[in-house]
Amino acid sequence: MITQSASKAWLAFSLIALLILLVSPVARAQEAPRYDVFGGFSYLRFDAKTIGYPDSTNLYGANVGATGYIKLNFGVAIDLSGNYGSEMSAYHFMVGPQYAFRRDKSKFYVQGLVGKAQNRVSIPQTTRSHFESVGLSFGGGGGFDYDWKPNISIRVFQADFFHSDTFGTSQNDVRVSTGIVYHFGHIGHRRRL
Amino acid sequence: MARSIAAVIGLWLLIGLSACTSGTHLAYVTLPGENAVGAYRIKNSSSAFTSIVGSPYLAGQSPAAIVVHPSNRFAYVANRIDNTISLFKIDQTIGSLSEVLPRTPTGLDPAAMTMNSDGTLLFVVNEVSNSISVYSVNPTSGALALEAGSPFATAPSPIAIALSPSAKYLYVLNGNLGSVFAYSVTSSGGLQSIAGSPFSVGTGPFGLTVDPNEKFVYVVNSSEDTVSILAITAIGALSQVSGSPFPTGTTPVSVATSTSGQYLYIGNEGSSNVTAYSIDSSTGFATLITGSPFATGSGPVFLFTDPDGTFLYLGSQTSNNITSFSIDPSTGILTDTAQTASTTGPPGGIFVSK
Repeated sequence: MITQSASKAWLAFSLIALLILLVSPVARAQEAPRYDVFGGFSYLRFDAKTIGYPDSTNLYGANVGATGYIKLNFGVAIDLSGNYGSEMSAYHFMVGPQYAFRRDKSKFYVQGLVGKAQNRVSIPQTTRSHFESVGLSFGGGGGFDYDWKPNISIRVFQADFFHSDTFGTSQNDVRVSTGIVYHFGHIGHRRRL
Repeated sequence: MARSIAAVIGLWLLIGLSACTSGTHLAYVTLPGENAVGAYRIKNSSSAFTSIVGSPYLAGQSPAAIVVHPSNRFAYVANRIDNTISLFKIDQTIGSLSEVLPRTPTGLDPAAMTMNSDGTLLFVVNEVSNSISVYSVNPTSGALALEAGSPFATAPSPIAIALSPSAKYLYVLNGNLGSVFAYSVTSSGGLQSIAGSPFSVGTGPFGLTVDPNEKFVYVVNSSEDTVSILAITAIGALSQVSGSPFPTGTTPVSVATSTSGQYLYIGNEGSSNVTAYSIDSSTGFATLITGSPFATGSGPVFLFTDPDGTFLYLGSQTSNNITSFSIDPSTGILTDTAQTASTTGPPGGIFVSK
């Protein structure tokens, strides 16, 4: 079951995505980079209530990823992130399809992701220092990039929802990232409308 | 670009604002067969259980009684085969347990424990060595130190213990003699027998508790299916109230009061139900509550009222679980919440922290 906080974030994300599409310039890109490589800061709202915490937990860390475009708007994304808090860390190792909408300097994209989540809780015991669990994770989201230089974009935001099965229960997490995207290679051709 | 950045900031704020804290309690359940303690977070609104990561946590051999320090920083578990007490530190974020070794020695077979409301003294009855161990509690580390004169001798087979809320009187239930031994507690944790002690109850007494208003002591008599209600005198002595003992279901083995002291609940292991009484605060006379007895899962062996007085928790050693009933504050009527926490083995005791 999706948590209330995750649902709110998802609704906000959808509204923002719609807003961006509506206000974007009308020029349509017919050429695009073949590869995107991303690195940046990441925030994860971890569904810690499912493992006994009194509330969800804020974790901070890094998100890196790469997308290779098979067609102008369609590619395959690899997404890796690590988020950390005082007692807890959460890693996601994900892969999945990505669809991009390009308009002039803007790119909005949506993606589906599947992979593994590795969650660790550091609560020292007499015989061990932490508890760790690895499980299936799936979800998806999207984001918005804005071109800054010919080969560099600002990832204004990327927001993803993850459903992960760890510690014998399920977590519904929301992750938001921001950072820099480096482009190289090209696919398609440019045409002004 | 600026609009997009503003939208992103809005999204982050929304995520932050959506993080609302909901009230919860922590519950710890001893598992004698597993030599461990299970830990759960309980939602105050529904009594829904969530197992805490890493639970159950290892303790000594055959842990049974458990007490949580009023500060919620420490938990004490009596290990009946080890003849020790395990001290656990409670993680202040998640509520997990971490044992602090070495364990503290007790007498033989520490069967039951209780702590004063200040958290300065811990009392333990040792069923085989026929004694009461009294420990002072270090408020910083939680460490236990045996008080001078402790252990104090008592009659053979003490099986349960209860302290009056003011910590002036200690009551020890003796199963063999069918009686309650009463002690006054000195400021240093010393015990002095109260005049007239011991006080007779029914046959096969199994559990006792003290009224939160310090007016009555309740004892369930498992062999005769009754509950004895005894009034506490000004010096801590006991006398049966008019009408006592009152009937219960089959094989009553546990007893608890509501936090107000207005209602009395008795767990009947044989008939798998809870007998509920309303208590006259002046006379101690017990009147059955409408709907009593309330059916439970099979074989409830212990009861515990949560600190808010909202729920009654029951442990079953045949179903291996903890279940809960909501308490109607105006009538005392119980309603099954259908919330259940399965345990990895038969539960031995429970403590729900504040």
